Amino acid sequence: MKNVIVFALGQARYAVELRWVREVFTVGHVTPVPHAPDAVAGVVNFRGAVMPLIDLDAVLGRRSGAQAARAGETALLIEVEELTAALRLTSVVEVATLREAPGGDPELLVDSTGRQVPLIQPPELLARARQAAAAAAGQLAIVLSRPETGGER
Amino acid sequence: MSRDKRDPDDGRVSGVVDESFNTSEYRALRLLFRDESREALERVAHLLLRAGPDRIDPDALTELLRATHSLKGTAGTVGLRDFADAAHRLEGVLERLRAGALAWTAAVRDSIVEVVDGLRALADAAEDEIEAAELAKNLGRALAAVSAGGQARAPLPDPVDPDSSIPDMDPDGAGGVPSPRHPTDSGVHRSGRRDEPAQLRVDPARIDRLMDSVGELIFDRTRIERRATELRGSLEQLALLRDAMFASAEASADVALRSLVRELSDRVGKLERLAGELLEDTGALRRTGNALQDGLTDIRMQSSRSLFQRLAPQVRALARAAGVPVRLITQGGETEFDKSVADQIVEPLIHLLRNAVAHGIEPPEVRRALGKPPEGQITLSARHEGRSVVIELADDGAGVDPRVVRQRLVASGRWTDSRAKMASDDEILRALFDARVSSREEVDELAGRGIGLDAVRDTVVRLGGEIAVSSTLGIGTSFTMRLPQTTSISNALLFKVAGHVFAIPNVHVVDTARVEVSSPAIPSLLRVRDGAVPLVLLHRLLGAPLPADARSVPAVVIDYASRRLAVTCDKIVGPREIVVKDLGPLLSPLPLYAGGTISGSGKVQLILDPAALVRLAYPETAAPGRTAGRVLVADDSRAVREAMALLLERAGYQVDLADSGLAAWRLLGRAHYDALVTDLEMPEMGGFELIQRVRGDALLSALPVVIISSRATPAARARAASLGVVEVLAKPVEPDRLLAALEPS
Repeated sequence: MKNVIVFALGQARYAVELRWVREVFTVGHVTPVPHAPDAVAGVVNFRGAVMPLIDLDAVLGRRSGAQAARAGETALLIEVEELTAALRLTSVVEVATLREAPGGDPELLVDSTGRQVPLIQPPELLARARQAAAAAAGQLAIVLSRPETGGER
Repeated sequence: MSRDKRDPDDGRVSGVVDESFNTSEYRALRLLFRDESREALERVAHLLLRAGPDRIDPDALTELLRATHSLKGTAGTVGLRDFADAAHRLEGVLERLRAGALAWTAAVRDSIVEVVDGLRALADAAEDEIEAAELAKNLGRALAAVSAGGQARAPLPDPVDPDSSIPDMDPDGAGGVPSPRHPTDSGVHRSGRRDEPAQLRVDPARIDRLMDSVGELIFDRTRIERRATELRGSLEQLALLRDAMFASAEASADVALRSLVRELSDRVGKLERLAGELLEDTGALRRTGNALQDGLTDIRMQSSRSLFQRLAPQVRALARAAGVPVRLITQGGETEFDKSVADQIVEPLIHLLRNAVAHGIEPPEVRRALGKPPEGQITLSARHEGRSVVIELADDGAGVDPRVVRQRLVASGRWTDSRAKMASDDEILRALFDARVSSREEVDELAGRGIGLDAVRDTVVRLGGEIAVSSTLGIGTSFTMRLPQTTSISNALLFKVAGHVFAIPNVHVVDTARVEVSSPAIPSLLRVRDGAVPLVLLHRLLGAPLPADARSVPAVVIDYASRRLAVTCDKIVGPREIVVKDLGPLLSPLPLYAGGTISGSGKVQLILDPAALVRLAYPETAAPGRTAGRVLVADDSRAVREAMALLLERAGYQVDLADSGLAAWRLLGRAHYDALVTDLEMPEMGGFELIQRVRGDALLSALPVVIISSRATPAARARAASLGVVEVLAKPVEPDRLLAALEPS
């Protein structure tokens, strides 16, 4: 049995254990970050701190290319050790205690309607986002190392 | 070896060095000089104050001479001619004192103290030419007085910062309180004050400058961390390569190859260890930087009392103007918070006070009719809650009627009827902070609240705080601000690209200009006031198009590490004080950004790192091997070291710096150098001892050595010649002569 928040992202549903979630909040203005990885949809102001907004679809490789985030979206503030980030989602479905799906896959839960919901692992998710960010930083370093001034309109 | 054209001890400073550096380089060097000279002058003042009224210890006089002479040389090097000339004249006076041609009296001592104060003020004012000229004139008078034996007391030159001068100059000349920076280096204390802790009064502007430097330090640290992480990444790749190579080489029969690969493997292992250590060191740097920031913030803490004291007269004036008697009650005056937070919050508080007086407190006759005391009461309180400061401003006036606000919101079309009906009274009151509501006068008049609550909220949000309002009709209104106790504020220039606001630290912004973009090809250079600078299309870097219909766009001219460039933007927003926020571990690796900040309306704005932009405008510096050679410069004056580094780097040399003979000796053992440029008088190990060691070392004995010194006496020259020194140059060093001396013969 696991205490989780079940949320919808587009048509899909995911669950995340409550111990990783600090807060559910409504996103204000989203500032895009040029050269950031697709996994980061932008940065938002969370009570005076700059918080990266993580795009789960992009992290899981479900979609390539950044998708513009908008103010008013809902996000989960997740915290893994020293890394805090906002996870964008479509809506919160329920907070519940769910059991694991038959078959022994610990990353698959069954919700109250009998539907199977994959369990998100924030440490792994943020590690992937971090890798993507490191790769993007490498790309940007290459861009910056090519001297460029002036140019075509 | 050529003979020196000038008498080495006639150190009158020629104009030669003035052309050596550009304006911003001079500025940087002079800042170094200012700090350095402050220390030296403090030592001089200390020596003077310890000297009795009728005699001075000959050792102290020698020390005074030495310090003055060395200041003269350094001032000349950084192009401060007035300072160097004054130091030269002071040196003349000290020489006369030493020779007995001038008698040491209390008047002479006091005049010299004045001269030293004048020198200090002059060093402080180095950036302001007009002020410096004025100070130099005063200094000239003080010097004339001291030459005349201190008879005619010169008018005191205005020190820029009176608080920084030596405290408690002892009028009877029996001794002085030691400078507060060295509280233990002298046993001389004034009786009766022995147990009082030394207090240091400092101009807040100085602390702010330090705080700015700490801000820069934190940017720099982020950059170093990023590079160290990059380095470790590359090494991980390299290690994989090494392992693959190792495996195939071990299988090979080629013995030479196997040993090469083993060697390579060792070296990579060492690099990996070093990179790991470097990362640990950056962790230490982070801790130290944070401690420094905390310490400085702590110094800047001030009590709410001083804030309240600034507000009290405002309330009196407002009450007089409105014709309403008001009593201001303050609570929690001992609550401490950051001066910069206090400074930012004054205007919003005045605004709220004005509203309370003008719209909140009823006229006395109304209050009487309501059974309230005729005198209105405003309570201003401050308290700590965790790491926040809570400031509450409450009045006992008429309060805000939510029904009226609700009606106005609907009548003005801002809110729909149903939204207004659904909203709680609290939500309605919160709407007062909305720009579109609170800036409408009719709402204000009816609701009993003034204009501009949106601006108040913006300031609070920008500082990273929150503001709330509560009101009870007929009883009063209260605003509660929750502010961070401390904040790191720095100055930045804000500009827009493709609808988004970006910031650049103001210290790196030198100018703004316009770029013609109507032709299809945009030039790679932009002409600015003093020359042309590379132009970087920030639009392209940020993935945005140039505005289609614009004939020209604004550009920001940036100076970073003495390199200038211009970047395009859509609109200059203007300079702002910003609160710098970390981007967090996920985004900090991106080399383009130095951090983020929160705008008044709560949006995140990105701070661009000028170091990254410079890389776009300038090709990487020439790889080692293409340089004219590697030179080690040893000098205990940082200003001189930096000046020499600039000169030599510009001539194509790779330059390393050492602040003592010993440090130079260590460096000589670690890397190959083509030449050594050294000062003579240095701590730990002097120049001659260093040269002797070099000559005695089998590997280094043939190293070309050039001496730069403010003590280029004939004796020193003779000794230098015996040690095979290429050239002895008197400070300030003439660049051409230094470069000529370094040319391989």
